[in-house]
Amino acid sequence: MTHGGDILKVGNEGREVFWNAPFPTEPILFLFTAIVLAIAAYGVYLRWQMWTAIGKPEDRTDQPKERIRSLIINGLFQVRTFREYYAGIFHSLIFFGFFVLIFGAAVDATQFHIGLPFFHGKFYLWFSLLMEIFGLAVLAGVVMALVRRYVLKPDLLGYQGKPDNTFDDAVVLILIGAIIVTGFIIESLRIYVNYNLDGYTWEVWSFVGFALSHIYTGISYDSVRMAHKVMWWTHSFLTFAFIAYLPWSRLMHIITSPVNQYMKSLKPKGYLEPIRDFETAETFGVGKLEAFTWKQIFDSDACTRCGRCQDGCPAYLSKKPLSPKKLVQDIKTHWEDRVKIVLAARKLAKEKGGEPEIPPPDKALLGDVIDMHELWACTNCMYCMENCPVYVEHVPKIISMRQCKVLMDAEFSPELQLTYRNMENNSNPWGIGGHLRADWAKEIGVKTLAEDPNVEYLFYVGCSGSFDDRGKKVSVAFAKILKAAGVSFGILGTEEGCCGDSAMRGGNEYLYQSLAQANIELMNGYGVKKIICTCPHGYNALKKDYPHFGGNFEVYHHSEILADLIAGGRIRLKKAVSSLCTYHDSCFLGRYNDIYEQPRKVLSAVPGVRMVEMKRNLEKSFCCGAGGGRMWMEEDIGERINDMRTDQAIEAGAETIAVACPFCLTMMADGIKDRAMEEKMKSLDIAEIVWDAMDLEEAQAAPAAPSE
Amino acid sequence: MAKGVWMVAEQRDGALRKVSFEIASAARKLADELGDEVCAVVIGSGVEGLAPELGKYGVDKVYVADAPVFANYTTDAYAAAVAKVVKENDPAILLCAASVLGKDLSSRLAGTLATGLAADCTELKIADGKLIAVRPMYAGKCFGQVVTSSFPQMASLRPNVFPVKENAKAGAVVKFDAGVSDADVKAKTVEVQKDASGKMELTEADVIVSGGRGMKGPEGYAILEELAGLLRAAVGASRASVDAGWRPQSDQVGQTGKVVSPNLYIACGISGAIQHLAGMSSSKYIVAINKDAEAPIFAKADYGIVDDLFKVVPEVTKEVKKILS
Amino acid sequence: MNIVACVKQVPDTEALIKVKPDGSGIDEGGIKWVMNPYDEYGVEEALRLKEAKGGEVTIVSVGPARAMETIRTALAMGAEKGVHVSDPLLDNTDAYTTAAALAAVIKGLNPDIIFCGQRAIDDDSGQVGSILAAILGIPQVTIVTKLEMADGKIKAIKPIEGAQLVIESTLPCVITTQKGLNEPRYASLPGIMKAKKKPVDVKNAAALGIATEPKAKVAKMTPPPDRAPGKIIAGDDPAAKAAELVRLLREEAKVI
Repeated sequence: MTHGGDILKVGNEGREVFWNAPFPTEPILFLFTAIVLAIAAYGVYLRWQMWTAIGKPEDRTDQPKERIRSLIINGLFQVRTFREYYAGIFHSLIFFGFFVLIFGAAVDATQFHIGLPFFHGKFYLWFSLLMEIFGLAVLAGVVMALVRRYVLKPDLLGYQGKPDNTFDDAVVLILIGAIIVTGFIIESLRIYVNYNLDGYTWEVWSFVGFALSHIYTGISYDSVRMAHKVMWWTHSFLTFAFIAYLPWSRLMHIITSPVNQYMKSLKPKGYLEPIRDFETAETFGVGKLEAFTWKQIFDSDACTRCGRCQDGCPAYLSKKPLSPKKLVQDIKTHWEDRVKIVLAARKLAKEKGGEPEIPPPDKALLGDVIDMHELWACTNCMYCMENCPVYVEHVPKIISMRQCKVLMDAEFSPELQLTYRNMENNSNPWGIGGHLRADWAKEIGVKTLAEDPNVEYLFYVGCSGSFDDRGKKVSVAFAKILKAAGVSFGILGTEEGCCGDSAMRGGNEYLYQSLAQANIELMNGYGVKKIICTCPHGYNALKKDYPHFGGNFEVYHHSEILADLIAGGRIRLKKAVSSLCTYHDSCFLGRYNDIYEQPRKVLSAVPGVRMVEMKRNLEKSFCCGAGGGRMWMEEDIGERINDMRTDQAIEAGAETIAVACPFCLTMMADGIKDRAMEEKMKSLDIAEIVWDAMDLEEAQAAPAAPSE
Repeated sequence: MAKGVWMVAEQRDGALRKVSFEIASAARKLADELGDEVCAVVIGSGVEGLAPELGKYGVDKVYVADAPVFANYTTDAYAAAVAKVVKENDPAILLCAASVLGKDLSSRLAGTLATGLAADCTELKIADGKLIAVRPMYAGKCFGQVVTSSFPQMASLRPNVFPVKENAKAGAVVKFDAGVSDADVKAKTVEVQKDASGKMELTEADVIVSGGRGMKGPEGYAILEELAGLLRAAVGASRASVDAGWRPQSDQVGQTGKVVSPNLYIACGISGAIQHLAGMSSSKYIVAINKDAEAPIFAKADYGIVDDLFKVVPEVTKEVKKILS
Repeated sequence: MNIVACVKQVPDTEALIKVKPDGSGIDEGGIKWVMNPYDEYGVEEALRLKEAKGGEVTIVSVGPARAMETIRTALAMGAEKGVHVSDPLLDNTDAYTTAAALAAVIKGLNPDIIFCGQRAIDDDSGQVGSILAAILGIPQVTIVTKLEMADGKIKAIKPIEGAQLVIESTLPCVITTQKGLNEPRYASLPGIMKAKKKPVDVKNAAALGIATEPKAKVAKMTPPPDRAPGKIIAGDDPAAKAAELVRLLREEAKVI
């Protein structure tokens, strides 16, 4: 196929597809393409067999519209990858570069087989330029990736200071780089001939190839044609290698990532499927791989080891053995080993007849694959899930494994056992007599629903707000604000029970449900419709989990109510509170419920308050260390998470660490004491700051909390 | 007709324990009201000489079973001996010590004698010729007045509660043969391990002296240990001081440490966060010594001293030494 | 090995104890009932012994109908079966009668070893184990913090003031258990579910042939004398304040 002399006319700029590749190049190419596609398809098929071999059923195909939306946002537009700039940029360079190049190749192929009426002239020139740019983009992306992985060596590409690079990581990057480089070389060789011999002056638009073509000056056209042929085949085989290698390498994420993004949980953030069959089930939680759902297992295969989860994991950063990445990868390795045995056994059984005899695993999921210190180090802060670009779900896995340790084996830390007993006997984690629950409200005269059920809101105080001296001050401040604003509300008084969040997150679903049901029965008995919580843990549980058990309420966090009261002018903040204030995001407000703005708005409305952000904030905020039942457990490995968070506040220069969660309040107050900063900074709940600024009657400065 | 106020005197290593004089004094008071005599039972090996001492506190007669089989306390031998002499003499009232061994002995005797026992009493009264024993129940959250319908009416007396009052009586020795041989002892004390270290287990201690962040460093604990030694107390610590590495984890009291409920908890330099309170708030008496008058521990304390613990604790130690000598 | 653990249901340690106005007992309204903590050590030790030596653990409890929950709790921890002595005539009875009821049940069980908590945290009486041993005519070791079993004998550690006794006893015997002996296990969920189906015999006093008249009756209950709210010992002189503290501890609180 030649364009003849016409091509040299202005407006006819173009080139010959399959230049210097005479028959039978094309059929050979097709043959090889067929072969490599078959290899790739076989690889995917094998993986498919593995994905479907074990795991409990779980439906992840409902709401296709939502799923496609997720796929477009995170698959096509790579939105979450940008939460880490460097990685986001290089990944996009490679991803979008490849995307365009493949599109270009498709255009080439179409031109070759069908002919494109517009594949010449201006279109061709812009097309050439585009291909050059995106080719370079991929190359730049590859270089950035190589530099990052092998020179910068960020901690997230490893575990505890040791890189976890595999041979495959290098192969993939080099392969992509080599495809692009050989592509440019082919182009430059062709241009050398086309430009110098055929007079294709417009080849300057293919600026990379054009620049490279100068290297060959002085070499004979025949030699260049020969070199072109060699390079052309090299390029083709590298591409074949890429396709064939795909399912056997980390390139598989080209398939698994979008699938996982499509299959992502559409439930509210942090959703946990409740155990519903206590009476009939024989096992609870996940004690072996097979007890995971297929999706939970597929997750681990979709994980690309990018390490974003680990990068802000409070357990990992405080030098505990848990890394969400390692946890998921360990499950994956275990799955790969295990599934091979299972498939082999099934195959044997199929050949011989009878039931497959599957030997028990030589490694226990709990203990060997996942170390117990890893399992219990998680604070359920959801940093990992919120920042995972492929929507791997770490936290539900951890909780389901904890469920096995607690409900089945009854093997867990004595501190937590004590906490559970206390929750069972006195409906609060400290085991303080339940009859003391409403003592905080005595002095300010808050009515209980038993005394007056005709109120708009139930103020669900929670255990910290009821029993902890520090938390009680927050409850008092908030109740006074509500009274001053004329909000109609009541409390449950001594009838209130623990929300159960710590039990659920610590794996004690049984205890959790009994606590939840008691509260729901009580609340429904009073006809409660709207609830305000000052504790994000209660807020999250009441809002998202109580509906499972017949508790359908409108649930608000006090930061939302305060923001509304201020915006509506129902409370007036008149006293200036001069303080440089940083707001510490509670995980259960922020990442779990997307409440980032309201508490900041509340603080900004306080006269005199100047705001400063800590380095880690919003979706990337750093946990205080108390979630996931960790509040009740000893922290004896590594650094204290609350001290680390306090350091971040100190670094920001804050005088006040404002919080909207009683657990955070305790943890930050302890951190301030540990760092001997009591004289210079304090931690306060936003309700205390607001009440202080309202400057009504006996408004008082809340003292720093005791650390012990 | 059952008659006489009897008591079991407790001796250790050939010496009467102070609680025995407390019981003797209490027994004397009851006997005077009833117009009865006080008889004591002393069991041991080489204990004959102890009788006159009991006489000093109002005991008329001392029944002594002195035999090698009684060298170490064993429930079997001691209970058999006391039961024998009690059965023979049919007293109206039988008092014992509510010490560790006294509790063991008295409750076994109640079983052997098939009678009622009011344990760990803090007050004894006579009404209509019957013994009314007042004793704390529900960890002191209420008191019960116990009346026993069978004889002897038994009561064990909490040590350090009843005043010791001298009231010289004859203290005449009546030796008796308990008829107990080694073969009767099925549960033998094979060894008495004296607590050389003086270190008490936190969870078992009746008194705990505990130090927190206010101890300023590991050296600070020396003054607590001295006081603890005198009071037979265990030394505890708050999470902050354990975290700081001043004390071992095993000393930690609190939600994530040990949960304790001693009779007396002395918190020094501990501010009293809820995590700590959860581990010790069921202590019967709480003492707080802290510089910070605002520390929440004072809200839970029965007695508080707002001052520098390094000044107060050594003075407390001095005072305790005085009363123990 | 045939092991018996006796349990009692008591109000939770943190429960609000209110004496009824007529002093006839405590107001049971709003009370959370739990297994006596000292009995938990006994159940745990019984289970550990069974796990080490084989055999069966039987739970025996004397108490009103609600005490069944406590028996189920022990069964959930891993005991095999239970006997519930439930009779209104035995409600709030004394230690002797309780022990007599237990003895009547336990005689028929022919046990190798019997565990009781060293005391119950409600009446704080600490007698049942010893009386039970006396009625059965077997040795007892009370307030035990460590227990070993070998060659058909037990070796126990019993702390006393300033020392600890090492006691060896023949079997069968009664052990009363003290804090420190072990850490009672948390019942697993399958354990809780299985416990619902484990056999529990319910018996009354007549069936056991025991006298129900208590020997030591709580004639009257009174609330404790109003405990003064926390006293801050005032003054400037640390020595004077220390002296006052020691005086109060000795004379008012009577704890040293």
